[in-house]
Amino acid sequence: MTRTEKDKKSQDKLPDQLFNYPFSVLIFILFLQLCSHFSHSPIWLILYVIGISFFGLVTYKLIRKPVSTGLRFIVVFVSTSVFILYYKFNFTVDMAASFLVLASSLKLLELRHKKDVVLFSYVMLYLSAISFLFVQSFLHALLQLILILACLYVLLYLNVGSMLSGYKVSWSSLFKAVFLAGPIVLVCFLFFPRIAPLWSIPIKTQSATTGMTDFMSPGDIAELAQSSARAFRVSFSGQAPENKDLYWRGLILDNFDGRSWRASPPPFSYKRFNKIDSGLLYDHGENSYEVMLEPSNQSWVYALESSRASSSNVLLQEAGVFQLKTDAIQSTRYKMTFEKAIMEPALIIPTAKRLKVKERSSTDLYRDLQVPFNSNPRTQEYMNKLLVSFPDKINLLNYLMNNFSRQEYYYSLKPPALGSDIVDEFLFDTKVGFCAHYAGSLAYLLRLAGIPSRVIAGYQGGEYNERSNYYIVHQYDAHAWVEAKLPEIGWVRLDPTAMVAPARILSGLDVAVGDQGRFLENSPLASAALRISALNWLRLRIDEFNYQWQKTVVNYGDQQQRSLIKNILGGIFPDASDLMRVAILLGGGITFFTVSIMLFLWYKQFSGRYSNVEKYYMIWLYFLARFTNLKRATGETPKVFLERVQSSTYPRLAKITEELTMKLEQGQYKI
Amino acid sequence: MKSISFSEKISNWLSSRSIRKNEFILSQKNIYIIPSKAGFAFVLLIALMLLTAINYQNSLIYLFTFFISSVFFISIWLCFLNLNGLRISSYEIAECFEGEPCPYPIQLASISKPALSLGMGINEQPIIETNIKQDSVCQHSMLLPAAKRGLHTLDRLRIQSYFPFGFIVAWTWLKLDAKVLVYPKPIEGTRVIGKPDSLSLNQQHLKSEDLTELKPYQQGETASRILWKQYAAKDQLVIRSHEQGGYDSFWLNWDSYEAIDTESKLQHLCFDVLDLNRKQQLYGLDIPNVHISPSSGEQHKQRCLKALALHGLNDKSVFYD
Repeated sequence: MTRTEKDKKSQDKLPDQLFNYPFSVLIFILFLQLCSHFSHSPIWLILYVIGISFFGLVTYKLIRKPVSTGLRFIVVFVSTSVFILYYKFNFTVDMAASFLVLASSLKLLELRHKKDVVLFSYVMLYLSAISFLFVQSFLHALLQLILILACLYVLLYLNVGSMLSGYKVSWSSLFKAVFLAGPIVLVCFLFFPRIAPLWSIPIKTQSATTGMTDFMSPGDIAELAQSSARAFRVSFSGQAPENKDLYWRGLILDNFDGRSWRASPPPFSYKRFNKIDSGLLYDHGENSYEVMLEPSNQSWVYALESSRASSSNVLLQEAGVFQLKTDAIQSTRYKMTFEKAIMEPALIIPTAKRLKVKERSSTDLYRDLQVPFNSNPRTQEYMNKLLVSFPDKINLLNYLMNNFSRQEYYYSLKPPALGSDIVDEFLFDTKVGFCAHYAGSLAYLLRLAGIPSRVIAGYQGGEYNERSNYYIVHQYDAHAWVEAKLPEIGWVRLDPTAMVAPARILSGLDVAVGDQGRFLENSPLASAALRISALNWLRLRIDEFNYQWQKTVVNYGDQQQRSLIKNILGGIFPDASDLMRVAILLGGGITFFTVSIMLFLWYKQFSGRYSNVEKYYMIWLYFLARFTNLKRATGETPKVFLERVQSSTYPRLAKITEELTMKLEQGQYKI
Repeated sequence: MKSISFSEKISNWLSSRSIRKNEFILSQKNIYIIPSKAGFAFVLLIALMLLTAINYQNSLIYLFTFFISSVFFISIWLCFLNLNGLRISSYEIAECFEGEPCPYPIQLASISKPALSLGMGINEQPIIETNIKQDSVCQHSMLLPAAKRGLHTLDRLRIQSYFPFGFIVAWTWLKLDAKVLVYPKPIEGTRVIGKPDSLSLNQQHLKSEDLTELKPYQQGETASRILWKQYAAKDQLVIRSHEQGGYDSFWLNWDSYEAIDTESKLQHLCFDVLDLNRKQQLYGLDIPNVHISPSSGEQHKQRCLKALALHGLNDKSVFYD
């Protein structure tokens, strides 16, 4: 009677009533999701989602009634209108992610059926996956692991129900699923072929990153000096050049408009024919280095002078500058090979260093001589006078360079503001500047003298991590210098900043700036981290770990996969094609682990049911049945079967059977 | 020897699987497994993630995708092993009255591992949802819509489980020999006036012990009726076949009711059997083809009710078992 009453009650359940699901876990998942998408979500959205989930929690826990349709409609309408007003239909990846976050938080208000909760969990999993487009740190990956576990918990809860607490085993099945998945994940990750993108997607995000820009007006680089963010990390395969020779060329700024230097658009010929140096791709020689570029949303490649590309994602641009195939919206890894500088008779010009730079095509040579007509008149006049007293160009250059140290020029991160003719004002009035001022002025002076020259923007130096043997190049290592083409010598690198503040090149910015207190003044924590040795040690260890993470996991790609597969199977199947090798490793690995997991699970279930002796006995029976005609009939006791074996033509088998039967009976009657 | 054709093989195979049995142990031979709707949606989700990973060339999204697809893959095994080894049996015959839902008795036993989120029913909509702990036995009554009186066997039992994450459903179809004996609905009937009261038709007083017949004791009969003297002398449990002296024993007769149709008569008889049993009186049953001499007790009641339930039906196997 009680049973039927119960049934009646469950049938009377209103369809609108909330069913049982772990609401607080859903809120927890949404909260983790907010943390994952924090970097690119607008602050109003985060607050809004927190508000909605709080509202949902209150209605679920206290009022125990679903939100009414009218109210839900209003909330959805307001949310979408605000969202559209904010994003204005600019489709970007972060907008899509934010939309999913908003939509799933609204879904929280109308979870009526099991399938709603399932859908919610699936959307959460997808959001979790695409959060890797924005952040790829190790901690973020851990966060996503927790998220997966929470989502799986919700799905488990939906199936096992409220009885979950009483059945600890179902928890264990959650972890069993996750741990047993491990080896298969590893095999797939290592050997699943990395396919080229099926179609190109507008990938630009709205989030701003600090870093280089393709134009430089004085002061820009000084701003970068306030940032301790990483630009990239480098590890050398052989001996690294000295710190003072680490000039990371980024881009050529060759167009001067009287105030700022810009990169002129690449010439037509290079747009079409920029190609990779395929012969060198997998041959890394002695002097190669690997750069791990932080996301910059740009395609610029930072490379040492006289480098050649050694990975397929780098393209050669004009004048020895490189470019990435796709913008670095994620951290990007590339390899370069460089030529060690040959010992040469030193040039008399201070800081000058001869370069092996690929010439521009003859039609583009004018780019390095372009000057604006009517700007900086005082500099033009000054140069006209100098040209009279220094007819030899090398002497002129020598004079100009020494002039920076002879005269009272100062190096400062906070130079005074300049008017419209900035070179005039800097050279003759303020005489205080940052590398951009010096490089820009020198290049302008040289061009006025008819010497082809250009400003190079990039980074100089780097922090050496001794334990793991790599360099960290920070944003504050951003630098600008000059390249000039001297008659009979060719292209040389000139760094006027080194004349003013030699410490900048020899020891880095923090030493060069010294007591000025301008270095990293906006980020006291980062500044402290550099100065307090314990913190500095910790910072370097963390960076080391992150670098390893990025190198081995985040940037594991096609090239790494090929060399790994080659290492594993190169000896065994020297003639197999790449595809064959992938098939062998992927198929073989998955099969192997599947079978082992299957056997493991099966064995665990099987092993609980029988004692060891029983297991041996059963295995023995299986062999007897398989290889002889002795098969134990159903219902035949071990003793009767033993007699049958003994009477058969296999005396040796009978002996073993007898032993096993004895043990079996002993085991059974002992209890 | 002639080789059997393919279709014959198939039909042999099918009939070999559909043998009605009292007990089944689930194994790879009778468990079917397929992704559920949610599972197919999950596969779509994986495909979408893989596409994202490929198009954005993002190593961590690859890792994420492989992770959840491996969990999906492992859950196939967990789903299968959850059902594997489950012992389903039904040996007892349950009983109920016409008009009540029929409680088919099903016993579930799981050895060495639990079996979780099981759904049992006769189609995809489970009627019972249950979890079974490790090394335990669970008795369930599956309530199916009311049936007419008689002996009913469960049509086809489906046991399914979406364990652990709902991506995969494992199920089995069993022809379990679960039986319910449905008695006629007890309805009080008016007796035919003029005829001697059927209830007191056979009021006879047994005068002495000598007149009583002796018969061997059967389980279920009241222990107070055992002749302990006989037991001491002959080492045999013996009872008197008729309750002696002092009590009236009634005969329930087929024709003593006003109602004409068989079903109504059976219903009235059923009511009286229950009524007399409650009053702890002696009664006998006299209906066409069946004659049960007066007695009392649970077993006697059930004998009578069985006779009423199966009256006129072919299946007498329960009655004479």
